[in-house]
Amino acid sequence: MISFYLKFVTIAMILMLWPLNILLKNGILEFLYYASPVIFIFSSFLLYSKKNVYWPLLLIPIAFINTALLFFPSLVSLLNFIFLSRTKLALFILLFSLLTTVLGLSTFFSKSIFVDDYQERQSVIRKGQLYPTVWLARLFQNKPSIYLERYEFNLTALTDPNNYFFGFHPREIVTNNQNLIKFPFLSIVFFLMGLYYLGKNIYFRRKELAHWKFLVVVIISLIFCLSLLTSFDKHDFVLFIPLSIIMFTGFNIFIKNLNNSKKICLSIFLIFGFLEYIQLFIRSLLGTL
Amino acid sequence: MNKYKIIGLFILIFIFGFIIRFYQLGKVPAGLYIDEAALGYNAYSILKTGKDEFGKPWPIVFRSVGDFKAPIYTYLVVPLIPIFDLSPFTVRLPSFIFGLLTVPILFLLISRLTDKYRISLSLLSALLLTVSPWHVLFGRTAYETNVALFFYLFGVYLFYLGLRKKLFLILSAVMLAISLSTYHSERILVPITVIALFWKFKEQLLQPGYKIFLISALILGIIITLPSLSIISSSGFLARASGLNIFSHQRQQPAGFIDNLQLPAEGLINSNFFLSTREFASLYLSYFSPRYMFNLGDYGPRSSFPELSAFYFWQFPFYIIGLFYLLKERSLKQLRFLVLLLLVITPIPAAITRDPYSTTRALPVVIPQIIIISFGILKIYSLLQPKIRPILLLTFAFILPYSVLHLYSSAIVLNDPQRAKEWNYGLEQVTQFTKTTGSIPVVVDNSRGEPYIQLLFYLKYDPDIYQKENFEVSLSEYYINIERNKDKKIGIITTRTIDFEKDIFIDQYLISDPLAISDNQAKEHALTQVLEVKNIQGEVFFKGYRTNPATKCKLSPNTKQCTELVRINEEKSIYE
Repeated sequence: MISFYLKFVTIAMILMLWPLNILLKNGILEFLYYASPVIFIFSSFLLYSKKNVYWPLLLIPIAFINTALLFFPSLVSLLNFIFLSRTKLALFILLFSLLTTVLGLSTFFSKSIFVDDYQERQSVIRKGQLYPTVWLARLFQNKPSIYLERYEFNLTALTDPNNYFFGFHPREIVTNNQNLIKFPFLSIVFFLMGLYYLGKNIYFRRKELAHWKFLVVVIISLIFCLSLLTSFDKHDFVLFIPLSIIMFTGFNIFIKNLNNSKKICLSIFLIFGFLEYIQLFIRSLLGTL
Repeated sequence: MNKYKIIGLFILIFIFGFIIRFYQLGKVPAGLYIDEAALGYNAYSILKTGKDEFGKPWPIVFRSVGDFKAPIYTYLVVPLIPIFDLSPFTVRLPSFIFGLLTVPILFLLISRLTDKYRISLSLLSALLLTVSPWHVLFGRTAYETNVALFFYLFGVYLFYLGLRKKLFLILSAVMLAISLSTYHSERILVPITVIALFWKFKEQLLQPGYKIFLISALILGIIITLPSLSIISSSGFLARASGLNIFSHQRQQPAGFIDNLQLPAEGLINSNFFLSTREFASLYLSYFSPRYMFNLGDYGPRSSFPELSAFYFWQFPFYIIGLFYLLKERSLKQLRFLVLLLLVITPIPAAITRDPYSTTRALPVVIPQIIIISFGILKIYSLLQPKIRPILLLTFAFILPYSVLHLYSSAIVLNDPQRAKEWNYGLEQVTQFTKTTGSIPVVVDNSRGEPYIQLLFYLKYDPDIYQKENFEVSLSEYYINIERNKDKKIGIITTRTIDFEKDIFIDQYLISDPLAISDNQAKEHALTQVLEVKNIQGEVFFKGYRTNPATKCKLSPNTKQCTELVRINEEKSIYE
């Protein structure tokens, strides 16, 4: 077994990179803006862990804090009502969150993938003229395809491990994105272990990982909502809690049966993680973050 | 399902694959990329003279536009030229044939390795490979990687056959050795595969009855690969390899390197080991990234179709589900081992080069990923209640034709208007024009490309004359010296950078892209436009001009060149 301190340092190293990166890149005020929904999600998670049925209520303020996440509380409440708890209370929470969503719709539109782009529409029309038949042109070059393309881009980017462990790719600059590294890259081992364990829990409907239902509902809702945005950059910090839980689970599995080779792996992780933090601070000082 | 139904269904899939890959083969993509032209013209040169364009007899690897090309593809094109003539169709034909033949090999491999889902999985995987944008692209264009994949997969299949009938082990070694000589990626992939398969089946393979076959296979494999391996250590080849390799920092710093860092621990912070490991991990992971697989595809304009990724977006959930069940379930027996092995090792050769998600270098990745997607679909189907299953089938009845139409839309409709430049479209028309210029010299500008090889290709220029007229390196330095001589002479045609100081005072044709000679320059130098090559959308790719030295000298008579021109003309008239 490894000592408590070493465990603490490793976990801190895994989890601190993302908040630190946002803080250094954007300053304290913006950090607080993007971090506040995270606090509500964490509080909601704590309530869920204590089997408190009011947990979705704590997510409703998120729609007011960050209108980009307007649909999130409603979606969680909907999934909660359908799959987890078919009670009057859950229905009430769902209706209440739907009401907040409707109220904020007008502000959401300008941040969403549904924003009109004249250039893009013209491009679709031009490309449509290349097809031999009109119906084929309409099938592939149409207005909904613009939105669908944007949605697909966001969805695949949000489910891309490279986004979280490498800031997409070390040599790639994704536009509309700060390309921040969210977790030390070797922690992908813990993440994959956690993810597999979560998958197994879902498959066998086990109770070992009691909060898997919370994780699934929140992650699906968040990824769906973030994919609806023109740019999900920084807003995706709301994924911090669910991803950290997965990472933490994976890390616990890793150290459960710690043998010599795993100890070596852990040492390499700590050295590489340390270098990533040093690089982060230096880049921040040089203003090249 | 009875045997005849299975064969019938497979034949249908095969015909389907044939149509998809054969439709307008050689015409779409329009144009002929420099590498394709090099493969074709060197094959033509070998056929006519037994030497390549540089005069090297029967090369082990082909020196070509700053690169060394594996030899198998070129030699495969040689016997096709007398039958189909030298054309883009002929050059792309081996890729088409071997791409198509990969489909039955995949079918047979899956059928051999699993009992559960045997028929359904092998048929579905074959079908999805048939319509895979990634595999179709390389089946319609001349890329060695597609041929190498066929030999690689066939070698693996024969290995599994060899576990029952020992003689197949020798054939497997032959196929794997050929694949190793066909494309660079296989040089890394084949040894890893052989070691992994040997390790897995070592108890069986080390039994006395197998030893003689194993040794024979090894010897034969080494004999076939020896010529290629002997070149790997040459300085020319190594120079090229180090330019691509992320672990070599001769040309480029590793990703994440902080410049001008004057700290005591600089060596640690900018540690090559740390940065290169991180870059490798990122590159490796990109081959499993949903963003690349289902949305972006390859950034390279020739290694992807417009608006279509390596896989269809609808396959995304099935990939995740298939991967999960593949890890969890053991019902797939040996197939599970092979798919996981291929999934882990096939991205390695591509991940050590700088470009993320290079579909060319990582083509073998398509095999395990297609099997995983197919397995995901079957798994979902089996988990559904029987009442709901027809809905899934009906959905597929719509999705599949839609996917094929999507492929048609990207590969046939959009590719040429959007990517013609990248496929070097227009040089065929330029070549046709040069045939009409009589004895007047033609200069083709090469400041943004190397059009000489396409000119040679379309002219079917006599390789013997070309070899005599041009020199790059001596034959003793063929594999060593990577120096280039970009200026080429092809009869009356010269490919070089246009020199406005001299070229406008000589009576000749100047051909270039619109950047090399602008409209203003043409006006200023009294050039007469004689050629314009446009793509479907009206974008000008090439322009041709006839120089008018006399008119130019009237406009600016006091230039040194004009005085010289007058003197030459006077001497001419006296002599006459």
